[in-house]
Amino acid sequence: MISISDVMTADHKLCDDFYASAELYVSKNDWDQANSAAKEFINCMLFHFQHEEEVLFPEFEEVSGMRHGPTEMMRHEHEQMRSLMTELEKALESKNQDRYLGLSETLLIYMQQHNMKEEQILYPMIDRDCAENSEQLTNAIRDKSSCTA
Amino acid sequence: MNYTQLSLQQSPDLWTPLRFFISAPIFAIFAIILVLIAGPEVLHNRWLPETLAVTHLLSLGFISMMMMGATFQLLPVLAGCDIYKSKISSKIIFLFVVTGVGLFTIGLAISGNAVIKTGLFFLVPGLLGFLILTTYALFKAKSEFASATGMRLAINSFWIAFLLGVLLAIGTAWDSFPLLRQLTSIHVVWAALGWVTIMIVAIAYQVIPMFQVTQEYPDKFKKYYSRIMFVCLLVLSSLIYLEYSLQFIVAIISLSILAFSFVSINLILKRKKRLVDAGTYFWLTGLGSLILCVLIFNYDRYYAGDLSVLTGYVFFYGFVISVINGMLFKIVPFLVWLNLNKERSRITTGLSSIPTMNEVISRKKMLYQYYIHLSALLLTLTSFLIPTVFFHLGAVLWGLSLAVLNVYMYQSVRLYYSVLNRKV
Repeated sequence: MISISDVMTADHKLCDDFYASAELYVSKNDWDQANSAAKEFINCMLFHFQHEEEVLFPEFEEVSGMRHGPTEMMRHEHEQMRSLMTELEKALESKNQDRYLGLSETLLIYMQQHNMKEEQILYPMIDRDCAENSEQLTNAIRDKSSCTA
Repeated sequence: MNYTQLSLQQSPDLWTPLRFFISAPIFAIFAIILVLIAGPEVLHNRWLPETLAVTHLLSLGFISMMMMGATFQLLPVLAGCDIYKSKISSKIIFLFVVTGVGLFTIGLAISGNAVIKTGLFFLVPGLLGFLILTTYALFKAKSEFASATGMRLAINSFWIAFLLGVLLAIGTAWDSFPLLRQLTSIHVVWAALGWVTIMIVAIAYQVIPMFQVTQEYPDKFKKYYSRIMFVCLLVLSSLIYLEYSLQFIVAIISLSILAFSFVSINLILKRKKRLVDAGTYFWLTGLGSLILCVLIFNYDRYYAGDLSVLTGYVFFYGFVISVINGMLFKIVPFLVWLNLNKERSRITTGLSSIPTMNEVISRKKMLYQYYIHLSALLLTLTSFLIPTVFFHLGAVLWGLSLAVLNVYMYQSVRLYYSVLNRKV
């Protein structure tokens, strides 16, 4: 059976793909392609955050009783990434290549260390604690508009 | 399950890793000055006092200091655990290790037993403190992920290398204790292949897919590689001690190291992040050097017989220093950004005034330093063949590459404080 970890980790990889193609187009000054790739990337990230904040984290907090633990830190990091993505959009609008590449590199490292903490620590905890509702949760995540939709 | 021990904090205080990163190149520059003073002879005799001093300036002063800084930085992220009071403990460990390495290596260079003894008085407690705190943190972590397992085995290897090193140093500095020179090879095995290589492999599992946006390392590879390597090192050291034939185990270890290099190169070449940066080149140079190192080592074993310094050199400079240099270019700018971002509410209301990673150290500047590093590597390698022509030039370029690296790090710190103090 597909675990919650599997579904969420696959989402991370998908965001990585969009990230890489947006960065490549920006580096080539191909702003039309860059715009659409960056939008796909940002949408994918925002959907992923939404799945976590509205479905996964509340369920985990309910089951584990921890409302101010790891999920709080992850929410805080989502906010930081949202701010970075807002700045990315501004750089896209002004076609500022240096600014975009600087921000995207920063976002990449931030995002990857965030993903690592989720994939290695938080998701396995959620898999363990929410095992009974696993199927229901993965369906709920898929029902919400997804990045692949 | 009890989650109270769990730490998903972002990162330790800026200076916790940075004090190690910023000081380590200075030891490597001292090593190069010593190489220049001693002359080309250091390239061919591993037992010269200067060679021993240079080896420890690089292995303890540069590599271990960098890896200790990286451990303070990465442990909370990779294994989800904090080192006990890391802000203050890193400071105390740093002071002891810096003083200890300085005195210990001066003592080795001048064969001054009193200086070696004073150095050990600082070095032993410093390293012991680091080992105890990281062992405890990793024991608490309970993480079964590949990187945490690799880090545990790397720290275990450091324990073994450390204990053997202390025995050897006591034998060198105290006349009443025997110098057990046959332990030297076992000490080198655990320091280079255990502490350094297993740690770099554990970090590579995370940072190559992260920074280069590649596929993951194969699951089985991640799960078993460090364990197999550790067992091989146990077998190798027993065979060295018993003076049995090493042919079979050396072949297995060589193949394992080649496997790691080729798997990693393959991942990097197939990376999704197509925009190449200095970090990519540093990894490729490091992994290529690791392959070269295995080839030279085996050639030396079966045909030549006097290439041990060259093997060590390609390992230290070609592999380890390249990889560390490349990672610093990601870690230091990110730490500056991250810590400024943490202070954002104090300094300004907008994210736009915080320099991005590329504004901390630009891509172009990183590439310049990489080219100096690569030229120095190629020239110093050539100097093993034609010492008179390339020895001095290679060494000077190597020093220049480290000096430039350090200038970039100082500039990053200066930028951090200039932004921080702008609107307090």
